[in-house]
Amino acid sequence: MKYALPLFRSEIIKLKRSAVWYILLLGVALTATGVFVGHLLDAHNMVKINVDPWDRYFRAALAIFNIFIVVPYTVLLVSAVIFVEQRANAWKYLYTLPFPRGRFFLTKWVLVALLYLVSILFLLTGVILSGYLLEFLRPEYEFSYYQPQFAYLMQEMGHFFLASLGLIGFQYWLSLRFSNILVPLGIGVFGFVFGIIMSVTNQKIALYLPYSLPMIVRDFDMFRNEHIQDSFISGLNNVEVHSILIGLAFLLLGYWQERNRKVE
Amino acid sequence: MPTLEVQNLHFSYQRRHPILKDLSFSVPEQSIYGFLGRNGAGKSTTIRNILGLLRPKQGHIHIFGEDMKQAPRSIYRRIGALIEAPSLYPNLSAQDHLRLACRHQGVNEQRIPSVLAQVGLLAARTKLSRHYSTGMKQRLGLAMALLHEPDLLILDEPINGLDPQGISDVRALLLDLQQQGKTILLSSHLLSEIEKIASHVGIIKDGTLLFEGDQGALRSWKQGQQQLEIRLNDPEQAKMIIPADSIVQQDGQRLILQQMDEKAVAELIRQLVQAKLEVYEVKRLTSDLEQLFMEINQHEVS
Repeated sequence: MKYALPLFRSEIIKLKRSAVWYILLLGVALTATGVFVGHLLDAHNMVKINVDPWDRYFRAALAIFNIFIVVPYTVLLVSAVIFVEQRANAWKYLYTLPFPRGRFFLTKWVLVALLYLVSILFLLTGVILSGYLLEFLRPEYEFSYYQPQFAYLMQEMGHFFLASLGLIGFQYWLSLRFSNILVPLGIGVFGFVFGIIMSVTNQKIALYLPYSLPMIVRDFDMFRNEHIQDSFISGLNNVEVHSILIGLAFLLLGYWQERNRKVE
Repeated sequence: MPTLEVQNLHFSYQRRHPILKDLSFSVPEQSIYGFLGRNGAGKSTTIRNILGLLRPKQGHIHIFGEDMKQAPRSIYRRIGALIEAPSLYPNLSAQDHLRLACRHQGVNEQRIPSVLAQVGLLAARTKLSRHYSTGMKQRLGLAMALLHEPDLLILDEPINGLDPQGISDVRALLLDLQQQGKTILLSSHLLSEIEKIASHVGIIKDGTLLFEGDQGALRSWKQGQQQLEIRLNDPEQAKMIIPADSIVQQDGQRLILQQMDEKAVAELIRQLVQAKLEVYEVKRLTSDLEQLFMEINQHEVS
């Protein structure tokens, strides 16, 4: 713990004026604005008797985020955070400091995971606020007759987070392994496309592909996967468990590699 | 006890291509140790091995008497390092960089202005490092290395990119730090600079140390290396008079002979004249540190 706080605080300083914040805001704004505009212009589908508009709204936001945003967003976010170090060629400075090498690796991973969580919280806030704005602009949608199910939204986001850990772990390892940012970004773009294809065409492979896991973890009528089942951990399905295990494997691999990195 | 001691260091990036070969040297306490060598001689690789950025195949490195293989990480609190171009975040200012270093080294941020003043960056403290010149970046790297007042400073080519005034400032700063009791390992390929500030010198070539000693030892060694040049009309006839083992080299009408004392020179000239040879010129080849460096890189010390 004695290393954790100073290292984490220094990580925050490094992000000052960096592209990471723009990426974070862009991912959130893109989703919230897209859902908001879509619903603003789609009165025909929204006005339905005895259907909770909040539920429809939240499900639409989650589906857009998970299917179209989460993978490219994660790839960009992780690459941008690590690129801060790669661009500065900071390893020769960092690894001559009085901290074990592994601490830098773990602190940065925690930072990436926290940024991801923060973006999810921002997204929740953005979706809820845009929902209230929609209520104001379109009273006929009858948002005011229902209470938003925040607990449901939080729970769904928790599932997405767990299903993204494999992707975060893999992209984190890639970004550290290759100093050229185009490599993790390029692999991420191909992974995104490949993930969509596998989610549609091969449900079994999709269960083990970090790029597919966040897309298939919840059923939004697009990538329904018949092989998803409860796991041995209560409350988690096999997609989330695979994601955690993949994330852990790349975390351990990266940790070992960083401890033995030759700083040339 | 030396502050830094390197013993029989071997290192290679690839098998069969050794970069450092049985390298040994020691940096005495409170010295400025000039670590000289041409580009590619192995200076930076040695420094990276010392700092643990690379792992040696064989050999030992002791800093403050501690074997670096077993030394605790806390030993790095007593070391400040600048390795070639400094690692700077383009999105941060000098002040931000030093705040970062304060967090890493557990130093109070109140020290930041004095360190910035020490390296001449106080006025530019809020400017982003991406707008810095090479010299300013180098100064900032130096400030980061000095911030926690380390006992040992390891500086790899610290004056790269500095203008003459900047070089002079850094030189004065290093001498001042030495006066304060700090030990400094300074690598450079600029011999004139090392000659001006180093108390001890080590010269490396192809990963092997060719010379080590203080400035006095270097001067004595240099005098021992002085040679005699004679230009005359018939070098072939002269070679029958001069002992063969004294002749280093022949270049047209010029003969380069090994160093000899004044009486031996007078006797040699007398013999050549008696043999009816026309002696046009006799001179000692004096070598300053720069020339000496070139020489020992061309001919290994026997």
